Amino acid sequence: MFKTFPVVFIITVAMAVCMGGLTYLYMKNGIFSEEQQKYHIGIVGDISDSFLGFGVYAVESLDDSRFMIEFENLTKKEAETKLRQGEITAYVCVPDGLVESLVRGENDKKITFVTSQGQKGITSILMEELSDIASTLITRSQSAVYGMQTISWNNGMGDTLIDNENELCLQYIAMILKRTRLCEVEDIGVANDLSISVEEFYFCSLLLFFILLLGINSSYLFSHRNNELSKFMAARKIGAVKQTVSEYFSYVCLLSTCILGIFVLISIIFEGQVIGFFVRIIPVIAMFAAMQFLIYEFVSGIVSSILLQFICSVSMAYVSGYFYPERFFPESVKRIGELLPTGVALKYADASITGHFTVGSFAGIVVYGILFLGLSIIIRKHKIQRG
Amino acid sequence: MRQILTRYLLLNKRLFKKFSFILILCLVPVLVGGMHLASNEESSIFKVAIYMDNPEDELSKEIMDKLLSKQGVMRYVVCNSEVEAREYVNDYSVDAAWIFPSDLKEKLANVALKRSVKPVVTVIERWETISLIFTREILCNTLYPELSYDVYESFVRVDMGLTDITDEELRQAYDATLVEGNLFRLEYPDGQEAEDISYLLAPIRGILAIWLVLCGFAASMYFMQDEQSGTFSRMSARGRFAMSYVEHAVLLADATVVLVVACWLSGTFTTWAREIVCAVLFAICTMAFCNFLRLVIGKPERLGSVIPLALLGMMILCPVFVNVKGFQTIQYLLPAYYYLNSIHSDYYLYRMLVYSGVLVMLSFVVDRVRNRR
Repeated sequence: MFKTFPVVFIITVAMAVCMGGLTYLYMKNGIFSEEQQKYHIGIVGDISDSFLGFGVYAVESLDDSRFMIEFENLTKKEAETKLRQGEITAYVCVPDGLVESLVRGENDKKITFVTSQGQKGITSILMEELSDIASTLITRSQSAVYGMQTISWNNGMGDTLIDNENELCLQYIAMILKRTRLCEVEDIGVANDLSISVEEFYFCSLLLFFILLLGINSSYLFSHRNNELSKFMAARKIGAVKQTVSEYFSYVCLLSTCILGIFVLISIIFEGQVIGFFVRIIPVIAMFAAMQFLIYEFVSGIVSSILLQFICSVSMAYVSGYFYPERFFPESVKRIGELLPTGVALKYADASITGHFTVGSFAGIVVYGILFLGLSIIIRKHKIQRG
Repeated sequence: MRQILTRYLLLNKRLFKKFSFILILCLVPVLVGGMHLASNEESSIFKVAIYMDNPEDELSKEIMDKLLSKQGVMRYVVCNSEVEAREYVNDYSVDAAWIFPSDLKEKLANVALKRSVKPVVTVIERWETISLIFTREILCNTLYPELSYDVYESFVRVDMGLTDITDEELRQAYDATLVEGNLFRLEYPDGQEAEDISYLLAPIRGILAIWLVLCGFAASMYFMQDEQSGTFSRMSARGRFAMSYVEHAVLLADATVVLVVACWLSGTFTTWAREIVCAVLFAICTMAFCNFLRLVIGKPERLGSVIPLALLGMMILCPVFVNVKGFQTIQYLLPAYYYLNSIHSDYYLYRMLVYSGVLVMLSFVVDRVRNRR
């Protein structure tokens, strides 16, 4: 441990500083800030003569949606560049002849909505929902105005048509702008203190995922273990149990010291009382260490061990709701996620923040820890006997 | 060339001799396939409890059917009482509760007649968030068709004074120009229409991309281990430099096949040609990136410590879970960023090529400097 520790520790702390910086920037400009949640949308094409133009004006300046959406008139080229540079979330292309098509009651000229980087993600999925809302507002309002036009002609009221049209449009404008007042919102405040805030959730999940990934740090250390040495020690009456337990404790010390270093840094930089939290999550560190130890015991070779560490960490973390909250998942996946070591650890870490410890979450950590260590001992025994 | 090919095959044989390696490669598509199956089950981003005071009312029924039949980011729980709905909000089972009154139709008609928007539905939330403003927009969108018609009806009958007009005539005129369906079509920058995929599968490609970069790192560690054990001691410096790419190519070629198969199983697949071109270029890019880092960092234990940071950095800065703004310079240093964007944009495909070329040249310079020392 003392041979490896300095290098691993220094790099881990450097890593933690970078991570802290990234997380700080991420949280400052990131998903929690209103600016990040606001969708910046470019508009390409002429919308002045359509109901769409009114919709954009309303959403941009008067409507409640102004908290969510901001529009910008752009040329196609500008829109493409800004989308690439991440300055806009998406851009909308209005086709020529859209108004004429809508007047005929046809929907053959679709407004294209060019989505942001990469493949469809949560942002694009939410944008799709928003486009559906915009569609309903536009189509229902224009149908009413065109319907009124038809009735006016049919009933010989063509001379007052323009006035009526203006009047009805104004009524719809007023109605659309105030549509959210159809809901009477009752905020009941934080109902109980059993749940953590979004920031706390992301802190917990990122920290636990970081501890999981730290297992990869030690790949070189573990891949250099010698089976001959294990056999030699067994011959000297230091059996599989003693070998595994002593190696495991060294590894827990190595991992805990690295994480403690990170916590000390956090408490100095952010002047927060996080050392207490570190003490409370020691069982989680020990359990994750046991899991990583088992993987290194189970798989030999640097390539396989690194890949297996990553696959286990990411798949379990994903299912247990480290990246998306667990409520996003189907019931069956949610249940599996809760039962996995990562799920048990997240529950325990959440409880460490709220202070509502349950015997169940702690017992889960202990059971998994013992199970992983026990399996490691069995594998080591097998390796020694096999020779 | 023949010697390099022989080396390539021998190295591959060495990897495949380990059963655990094959098992791990197979594990990736299996897990992705499992996730694809799981995503077919009912899931949602927002969960809302609904209570209808008069479920037999025609409009209430219509709204309920519309909400429950829609597959999207919302999921609804139907409650038998208002208390039950409030309880769901209170115990964090749902994000919000919508309480519809028994006289919903009358209330909406009254809003239209008086032209004064008054609360019709009660929304119960724990606290105000931007996400919940979004859910309220969906609620208003459900009420809007009825309200819109009521406004039109009241305008024709009251403002225009056409009291004798029949309901059929009114409805016919309204429906004549009613456009059904979404006016918008979601497209990618390459003009391809966006596929209908679950948000649960959206990060799969990103995770797979990061996994491939990890394979590159593992190949670097493998090469360093071989170098330390003297496998290449009889080779010239240039030969060793070329050999480092061969050893990376062996592992990355296997991983690229797994990446393409896993993408195919995940439901995020585009076309074979596009996927293969992007994956091959990404593998080359990863090879250049990992080999460059290996040369700069120098020691395997140090490289091992850098891997978690690189992986976490990519998870946050590349469009895996969310699109982070304002880090473009750092994003351009990450191979996964190019790959994830290149699926629907040729611009990033070319950039990936340039990036790989620059890294290979830089690696060559670093290797030369190190050998001189």
